[in-house]
Amino acid sequence: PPSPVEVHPWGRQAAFAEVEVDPETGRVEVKKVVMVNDVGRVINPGSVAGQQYGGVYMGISRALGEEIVYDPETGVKLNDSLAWYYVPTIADVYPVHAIAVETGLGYGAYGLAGVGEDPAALTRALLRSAVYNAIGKWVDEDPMTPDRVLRVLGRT
Amino acid sequence: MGRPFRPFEVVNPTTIEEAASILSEYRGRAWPIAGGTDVLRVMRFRPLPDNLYPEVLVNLKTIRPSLEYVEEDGNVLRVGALTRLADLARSDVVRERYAALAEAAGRAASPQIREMGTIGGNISQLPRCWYFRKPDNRFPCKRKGASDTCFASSGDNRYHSIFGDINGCYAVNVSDVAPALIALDARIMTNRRSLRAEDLWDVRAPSSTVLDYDEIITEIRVPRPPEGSRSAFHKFALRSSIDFPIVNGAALVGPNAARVALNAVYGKPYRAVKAEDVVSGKPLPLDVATVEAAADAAVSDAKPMEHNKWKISVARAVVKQLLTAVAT
Repeated sequence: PPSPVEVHPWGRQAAFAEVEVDPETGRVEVKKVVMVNDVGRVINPGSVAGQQYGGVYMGISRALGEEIVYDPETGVKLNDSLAWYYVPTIADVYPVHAIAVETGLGYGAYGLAGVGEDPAALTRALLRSAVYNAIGKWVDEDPMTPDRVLRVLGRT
Repeated sequence: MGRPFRPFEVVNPTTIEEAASILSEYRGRAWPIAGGTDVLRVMRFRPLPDNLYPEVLVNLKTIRPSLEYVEEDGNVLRVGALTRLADLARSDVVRERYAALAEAAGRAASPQIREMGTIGGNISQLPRCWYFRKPDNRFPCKRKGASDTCFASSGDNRYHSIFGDINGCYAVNVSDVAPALIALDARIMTNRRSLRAEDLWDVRAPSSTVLDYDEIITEIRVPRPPEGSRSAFHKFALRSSIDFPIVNGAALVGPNAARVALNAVYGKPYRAVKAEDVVSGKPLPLDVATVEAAADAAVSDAKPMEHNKWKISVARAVVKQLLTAVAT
């Protein structure tokens, strides 16, 4: 059998998100996110929480705003400043409830599983489902900016 | 990007005449500087052709008496052109009686920029089209006087004008204060003349106003809105701070007033006359059907580009939001 040190300590997780979509502007507003991670064993609570909260914010940022825009004719990058690369500001945040569960079922020391990019990766995918649940249509393009939501709603 | 500045001088005139005389002497190679939140950026990242940069910056902050003040003079609000956006947003008299202006000033840019940026600078800012702004004049476009091409017209124009071009340029005016001034029927005073707010803006290479190179905005005058009227401002942007507007607007509605202006939808601020016609004369508060009709009318002349049809829906929603805020 593989040595425990060589096995990646994947954790299990579940997340829930509530969103509101304005069908006239295409704006997606996150109302609340609950992020549950089975980290096996919490060694540093601050770090774990940091990954959970931070990951949720990053995941939503990627799902709703972040994109690099290239000019279709020349390939030149058009948004090369943070003024046009949309990372949410502190005024854009919403309640996040992060819960770390300790099952001790990880392969690491003390049964730890770890929590790294899990919340960020999951949240991004989760948002797409949340928007589908809200408007009954899949916004397949990334990120789900108002223009893409409106296109899918046929309001363009 | 972020190369060192080209050498330039700064002069600190103490009177408006002195400032105008220096600007005149340099025939466009001297620029006024107030808060400097955009001037310095343009000089650093150099989106413009080389021949357009200033050799001299004329500092307006040393002019005395100071151009920074907010005073109500009888029935007229007088705002010095160098008044910081943050001070305008905080002013009690502006918040209470000229609400759209306070709301607009408070929603422009970010807290830090609002402490430096002035109302004069905000209403005369250069366009933010990403082709226009790409550093090192990567796209020598019509708006810069560098060619006959508008790169946005065949490129990514998702944020560009939904009412067509002005002089071949499809970039939008992104001032947040502009629509509030139009809705409030303000006048712009310069060292030369007095203009209705909506006559200030134009599309020139590269300027966004009708001002001559030796003309300085000195004061903005806003008449006290008629009794029983209300004004509001609304901005649609992806984030709650820092972003330029995707569509913004302001409205003033009352028993004897119906003024609706949008911005970031056209090369200059757009007075939604058709929306005003729907609202004008209708009994207040407006019913939902009238608000919807006015919103439809506001965008009825839209001429979308390949990627910006979505902005029509947003503009319509902004008008709805505005009329709901002031007239229902």
